[in-house]
Amino acid sequence: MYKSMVARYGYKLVGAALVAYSVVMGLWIEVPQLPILGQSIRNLFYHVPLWFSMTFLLMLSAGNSIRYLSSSDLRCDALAAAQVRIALWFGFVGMLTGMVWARTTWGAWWVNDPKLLGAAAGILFYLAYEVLRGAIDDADRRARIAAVTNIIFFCMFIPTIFIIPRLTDSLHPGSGGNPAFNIYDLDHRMRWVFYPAVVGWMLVGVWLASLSARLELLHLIAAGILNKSALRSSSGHEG
Amino acid sequence: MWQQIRWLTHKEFVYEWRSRYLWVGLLLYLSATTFLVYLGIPQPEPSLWVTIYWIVLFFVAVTAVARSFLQESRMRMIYMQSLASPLSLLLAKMIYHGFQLVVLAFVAWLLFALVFGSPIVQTALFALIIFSGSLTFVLAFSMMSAIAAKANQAMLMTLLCLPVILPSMLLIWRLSEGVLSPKVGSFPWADFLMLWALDVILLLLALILFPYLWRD
Repeated sequence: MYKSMVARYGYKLVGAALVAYSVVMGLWIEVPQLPILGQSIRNLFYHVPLWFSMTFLLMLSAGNSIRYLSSSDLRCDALAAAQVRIALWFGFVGMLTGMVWARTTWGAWWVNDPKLLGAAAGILFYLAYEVLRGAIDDADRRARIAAVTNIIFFCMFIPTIFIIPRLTDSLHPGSGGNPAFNIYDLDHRMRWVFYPAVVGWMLVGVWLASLSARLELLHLIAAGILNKSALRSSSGHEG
Repeated sequence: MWQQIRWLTHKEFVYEWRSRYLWVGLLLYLSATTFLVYLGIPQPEPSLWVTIYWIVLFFVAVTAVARSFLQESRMRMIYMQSLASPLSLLLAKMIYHGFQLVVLAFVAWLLFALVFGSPIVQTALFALIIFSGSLTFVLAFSMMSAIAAKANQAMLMTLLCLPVILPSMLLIWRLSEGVLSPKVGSFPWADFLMLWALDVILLLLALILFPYLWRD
């Protein structure tokens, strides 16, 4: 009993605490003063974790799609769909925060940069997935077709991220001779906010997705496709 | 299994031969698009030439491969399902449309060379890229055609094909840029291998996932 309570609430509490901590401390701590970057370096705590969490959620979603295909359990499908939905939101917010940062440091809202193109490609992939889901009415058929599509998309999304940087040079940290996180990581104070932020946003993302999945299950129950017991046992199914 | 694939491929060829107007339609589509591009950009730069070539071929490929599953009537699908395993059905479709698309791609090259002139310096390498690129298109689009058919939405076809071909398309563009210059050593073989690696991934995904999609 105690164990299941920890599994149910533990990660939500930890995630919420870490996000709250990183949001406050990200504004509070002293950061290295670097030319051009200036105070905008603090965006590292908000922009970068969102991308990490997006990819993490998409990975979980692909895993849930595989689980759906092997079990035909609609709860797995609801989770996979919800994780993509939350990942898309993270993607949009990540893109907005990235644009603000790009405007400050590079002088333009959008540059033809591999990392940005990769992000745009990812959003393109999963918006197509959302349209596909919207186009099918029957729940079981939708689940099966969406699961197949999700797995294929994930397997093509990952190569896309790695291939795009081969095409052009990049302004983005970590490519084209630009320093990556190493220069920030040298500063241990920032590391103490950055890593908690990454873990925190990932956990909160999983939490949000599980809520969204429960909402979808409620719709399915209201439509008479699932019975009520699906909702009760689904709480142990996150992740 | 091999027997089934041979039989089904044979069936595809015979069926398509009996409805030759489909080929004529695709060729017409290709020429009309080329003509339209010519009206807009009479003399494209070499790198633009390559980009337009592959975009035109993309849409031709989507139209051609979409037919593999979208066109079949429901009754015939059920009949097929009772006769052959899903994998042989998929592979037969891929073989036929692979053949079709390679032919179309070379016709498109010919057409582009006629209309715009050909900026390709290393012809043999470009032929190799065209061959590999067409195969990639078929491997990626056959599955999408099956998905669109199962969803009963022909509109989804283009929408799904666009993301799934994205990584391969980027590699194909990069490879095609390589054959524009006369420098022999400049061809990016690493990217070529990566394109084939993506092909292998697409094929494996199709073979693993198609049976799930197929059962009703």
